[in-house]
Amino acid sequence: MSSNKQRSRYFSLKLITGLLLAAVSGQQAWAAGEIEQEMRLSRWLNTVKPQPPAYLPGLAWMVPEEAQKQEHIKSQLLEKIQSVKIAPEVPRATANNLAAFVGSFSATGRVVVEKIDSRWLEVNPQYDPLLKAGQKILIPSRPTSVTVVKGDGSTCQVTHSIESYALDYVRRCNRDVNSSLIWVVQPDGLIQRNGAAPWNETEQNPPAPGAWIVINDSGWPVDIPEQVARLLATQGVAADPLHSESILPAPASNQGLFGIPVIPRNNALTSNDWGVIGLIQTPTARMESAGNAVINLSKVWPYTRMTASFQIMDWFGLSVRWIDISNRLYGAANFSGDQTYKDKSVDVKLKLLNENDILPQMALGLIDLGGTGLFAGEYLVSSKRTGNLDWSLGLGWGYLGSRGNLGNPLSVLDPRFSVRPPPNVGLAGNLNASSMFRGKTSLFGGVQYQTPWENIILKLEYDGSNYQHEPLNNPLKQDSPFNVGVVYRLNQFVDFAMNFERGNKLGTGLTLHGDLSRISTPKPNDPVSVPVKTVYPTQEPDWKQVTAQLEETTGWHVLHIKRSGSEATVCFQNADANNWNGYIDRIVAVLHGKATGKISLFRIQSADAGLGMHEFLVNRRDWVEAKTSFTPAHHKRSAVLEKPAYRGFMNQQGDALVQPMERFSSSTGMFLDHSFGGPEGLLYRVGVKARGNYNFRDDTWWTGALQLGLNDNYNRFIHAPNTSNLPRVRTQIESYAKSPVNLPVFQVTHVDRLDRNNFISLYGGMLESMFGGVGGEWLYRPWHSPFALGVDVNAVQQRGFNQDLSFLPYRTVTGHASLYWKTGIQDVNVTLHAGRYLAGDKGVTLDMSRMFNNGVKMGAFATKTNVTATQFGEGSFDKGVYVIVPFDSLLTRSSIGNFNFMWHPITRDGGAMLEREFQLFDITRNQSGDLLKSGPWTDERTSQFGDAADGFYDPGLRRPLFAAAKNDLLNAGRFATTAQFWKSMMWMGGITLASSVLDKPADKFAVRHGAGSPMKAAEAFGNILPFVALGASGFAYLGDDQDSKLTRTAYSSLAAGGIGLAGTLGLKFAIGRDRPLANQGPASFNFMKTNNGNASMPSGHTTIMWAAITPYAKAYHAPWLYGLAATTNLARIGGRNHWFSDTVAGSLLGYGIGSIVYQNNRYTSRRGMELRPTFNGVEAYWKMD
Amino acid sequence: MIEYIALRAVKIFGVFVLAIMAGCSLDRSSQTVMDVYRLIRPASGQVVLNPNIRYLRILIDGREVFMALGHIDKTPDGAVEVWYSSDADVLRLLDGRLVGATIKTGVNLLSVSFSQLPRWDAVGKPAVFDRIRDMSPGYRYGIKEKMLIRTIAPPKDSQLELIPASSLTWFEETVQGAAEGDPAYYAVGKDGIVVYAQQCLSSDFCFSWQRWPSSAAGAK
Repeated sequence: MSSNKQRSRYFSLKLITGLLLAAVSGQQAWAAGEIEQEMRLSRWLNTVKPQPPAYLPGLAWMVPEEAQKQEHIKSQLLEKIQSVKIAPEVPRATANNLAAFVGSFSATGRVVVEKIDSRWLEVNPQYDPLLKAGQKILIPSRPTSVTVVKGDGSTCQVTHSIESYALDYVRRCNRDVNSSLIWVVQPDGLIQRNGAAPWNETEQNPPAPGAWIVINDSGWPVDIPEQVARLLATQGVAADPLHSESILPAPASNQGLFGIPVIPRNNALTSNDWGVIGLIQTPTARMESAGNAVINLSKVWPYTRMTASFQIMDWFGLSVRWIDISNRLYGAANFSGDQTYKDKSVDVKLKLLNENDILPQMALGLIDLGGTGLFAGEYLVSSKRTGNLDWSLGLGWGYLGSRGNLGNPLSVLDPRFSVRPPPNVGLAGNLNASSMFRGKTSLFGGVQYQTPWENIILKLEYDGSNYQHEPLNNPLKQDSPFNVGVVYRLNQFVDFAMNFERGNKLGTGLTLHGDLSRISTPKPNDPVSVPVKTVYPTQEPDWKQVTAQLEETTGWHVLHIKRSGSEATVCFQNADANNWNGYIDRIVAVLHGKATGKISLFRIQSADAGLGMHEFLVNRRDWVEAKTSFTPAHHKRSAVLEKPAYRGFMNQQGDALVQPMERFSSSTGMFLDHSFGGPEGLLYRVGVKARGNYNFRDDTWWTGALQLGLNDNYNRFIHAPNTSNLPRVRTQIESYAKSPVNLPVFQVTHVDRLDRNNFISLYGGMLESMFGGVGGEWLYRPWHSPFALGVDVNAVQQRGFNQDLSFLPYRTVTGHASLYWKTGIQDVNVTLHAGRYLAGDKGVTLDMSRMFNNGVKMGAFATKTNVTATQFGEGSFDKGVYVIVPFDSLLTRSSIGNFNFMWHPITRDGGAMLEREFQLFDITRNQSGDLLKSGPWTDERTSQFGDAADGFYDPGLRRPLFAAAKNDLLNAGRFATTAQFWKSMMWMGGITLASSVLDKPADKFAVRHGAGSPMKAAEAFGNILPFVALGASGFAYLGDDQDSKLTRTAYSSLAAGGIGLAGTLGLKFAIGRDRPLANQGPASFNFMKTNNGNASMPSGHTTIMWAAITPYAKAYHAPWLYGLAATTNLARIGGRNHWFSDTVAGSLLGYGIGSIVYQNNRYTSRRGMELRPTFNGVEAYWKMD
Repeated sequence: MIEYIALRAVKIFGVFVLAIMAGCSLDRSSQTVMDVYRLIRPASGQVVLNPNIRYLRILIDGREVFMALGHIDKTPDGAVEVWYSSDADVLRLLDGRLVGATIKTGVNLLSVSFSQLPRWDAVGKPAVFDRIRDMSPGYRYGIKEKMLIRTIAPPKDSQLELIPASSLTWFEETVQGAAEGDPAYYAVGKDGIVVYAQQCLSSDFCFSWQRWPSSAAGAK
């Protein structure tokens, strides 16, 4: 008792000392103290009992270890401010003043504590910091002002007003200040970067009392003010000055039209009639952020459009659409009755340029890309925002440009651009590529006005479409090219639109929109998790009781629990989860609550159909600490690791409990099959379904499903005229829906693991609703590898229409080789299947998708087989767009199913794959090694200081793109003046000359073998390779991290390709060699002739290919890539496009350019020893990438 | 009204979509259908309450939640009751008025201060007092409001249970001059203790609370 009193007295003494210190330093602290003995923050707060004017949001918890890191960032900041190279245009006096301002602060070691309610912290210990001796705590008094920090470090303090935003305070200090970005540092340390110019104004929070506002009015690179803001965030609140008269009065109330307060807003993004971001009929250059999805329904006579749009990347969006034309019939009355015309299409939209203070945002779009082409069009559009007005101006071709109020500017390049071939309606589904950007061109544009009422937006546009030439010979009266409209935003997910179009028609629209990547739902219906305590049990538990608790909390069956030394292992039968982190926490909470303190490591395993692929290792002490205490960043350790299986994985010693596996499991539920888009409109079938699973062994099981259809309208199905001579493997859909009782699946499956990386499966039975048979699959999938490779072969027979155990006569062998690639670029996955399809056709299926962190997946696929477009029938080739949403993100209980939305415009027989269950790539998903990375979306802070990074980072190549390109060109020019260049040129010329002895023999070879299919295949492959290489580089350049090795190499590849193209054109013009097809022989030259643009020497394809591939070959030490590039040489020779020596010259030129650009931009590893100053001296550390 | 109907339609559409999605589920589909049902209509089973603990019965959008009294903190303004939910969220009541709400995700009431606040038994005719609030998220710190309080007849749509509304004295509290915003209602027992209240933390987060177990005299 007496020692407690002593501690309390000592603590009070320290507190008083702290208060005095704070008062002397002008910190206006309400309470401050140094911690003498370890205690929780909640306890400290309960001791000091904060009362007004204590300002809890400004509480600063100061940790010496964090101060070292902050001191390092401060040193970097000072160094950058004082470096002339960083910002040559900033006056040195300004730089010195800012440096003095920064230098006046010392690193505090502040760690942000988000919620400072002692009673709440007591019951949420994972947020309650454990204060240690030597750490400090400060609660400031509530300030009455906010402080503006300018680019020269000068400050201005303004009285706080709840109605004022950052720019209001800045303007109160200086009316004419110009800073398009403003950083607000809130009292709790959160930094928010806000757009403040008319073009980039963003919705923002008002600064709280004591906030810092950092502006960039001196032309600093963005990093400088951002890091100044970060330094200030560590300093706590901006205190009032000692003399209150130096505080400026609060900004005047900012009222707009009708007296409505003006608050900063984001630019409102709303859909047009076509379901993409735009005005009424016309698109704008605006795009949502990745993960957003839109379902739009619009009606303006005679069109009813339903569009689903998906923003897959920030710069790439995809839309699919159905259009009903109410005054045109689908077909002859004896075919489709009075069914009105339905059209299907797909659009893409690409962002080309982000808006800045001068340039507008620009986007390129293709409409009706994969449909009938009835409404096909292309556009290039720009958008510029000026406050509440967002202006757009664009050029439209095709349907969008049918007004033709402008000559096609592209006809300057080629007169063929003046004429647009009509759409090939009969062969819907081709890309209409030959028509793109051709024919009539029209200007379109307009403006959107955000009214003072946040939920009302007005639109005015000039429409580029000419309704006198509507598709299907359906001219529409147009009284005005101007359309006007209003959008009413019911809430953040629903918009209603009403438009007056063509000067005579009223149109309406409904839009449902939202960010699918942020969907998450709390899980109140999950079993209540066991509370985590810091005390460890001392007795061995009753493992049966533990097992029961584990099964209750997870819903999974425990196979065994093993106990060995300081480890306990729990193995579940086929555990599966969308949010593994949540499940692991629940499991460990149970284990920690029961297992003796001697156990320090928990292993959590899943039997995974006997494949035993991985386990989670949980460091018990670290896990308990993370769950019961809030720790600063320097002390945070990962308590859970995911590890691959090892030899003896499933057969460890020390059984504490063994249970037999669950052999039978079943489920019942509803089913709904639907099809939309044909002449019948919506076709559906709904019913109930039962499903069973029986495990003979852990790696061998039977699966069966029985479904009973309760209602359907497949009797309305209309057989389209069958122009295809393919076996009807998929188009007898209505026959398969006739029997009310079906057995959609009935199969036995066996899986096995050959070694660490190789898996096989064998299966037989009714494999899907239309085919049954036997098959096998092999998959090579190394642990945590971005690549997997598989092969499956199936001997199948078409099932009877009743979906029972009977078969129809058609039999075939189908199978594919499959490559799975997790690109690592913006979460994009690519799958390529090549093989034989159900109808016996051969070809490839390419599937690209993006998986967001919460499990939502957006993707598209296309299949091209050796069936011609005519044989294939409507659609030309198989393709589709899909979105997968995990139930887990929508429901209040943890779930594992998915909702699949697929837009598959038409089902045909070509390109049809066997849709079998239990594919090895799915079964082995635990082999991916990154199950802990996904989880529900949360709005909790991802970093303690919000929008400011922890220190400076190299901006990489993307930001200074033009500077990098300029640098490369200058370097190339400089290199051309060196002796080394001319020496290299001599060598290249010599080798080219020597290679010319093979020109004639190579051409003879091409004449003899050029028509053969191997050469044709090599030609097709080699010719497309340069474009694939550049396209992949563009994708990697845009998609990967700013300064990654891949981004730099991709940039080098693109730059080298561009320089290669320019160099080739110059040399072609200078040399003017005739191509082999001209039959003039290899010695026919026309030096310096104006029509030499298409000359032979050097080969452009080859130059570009070698230039584009060389940076990769060098960066990744992959000389085999040169072999790939040589395919292009072969293709150019085989097609008699070039002489052998042309391709040699191209290869050398490309290699040379690629090498120079690579050297210029090579990724330099930042691994190595670094020194940094600390409080106590200098610290040396080894820095890893 | 139109907005209400539209929102209702959107909700029904959403539930329809979810039901279809559940129907498309191949695994654990019966469980998923039940989960969709729960999403619309949360289960309201019998809650076992500890007779030794004092509770608040809270209704939020038709959902029933119980909070337990954990502490009574003495402050210069009076005794503040600290109530806890099973999710470890915290509500603070000072003489029946909400003076703090700390919730993991959602609207938080960081602090409230009053001046010239009349006692319940002193509100004979309409009275005015000042309120200053700090709200988050959004850093809405220092919201100054003039509050008007007056006695009213028991409202017909209250969610009060077990106690006759007429046995309590009812007060309505509104923000003076505010064009919108729901008023708060307080029902005070004969002993001067607030037994029931309806109030909003934000325009889309309103709830009612009642001391539980309840008695006509109010909780002791």
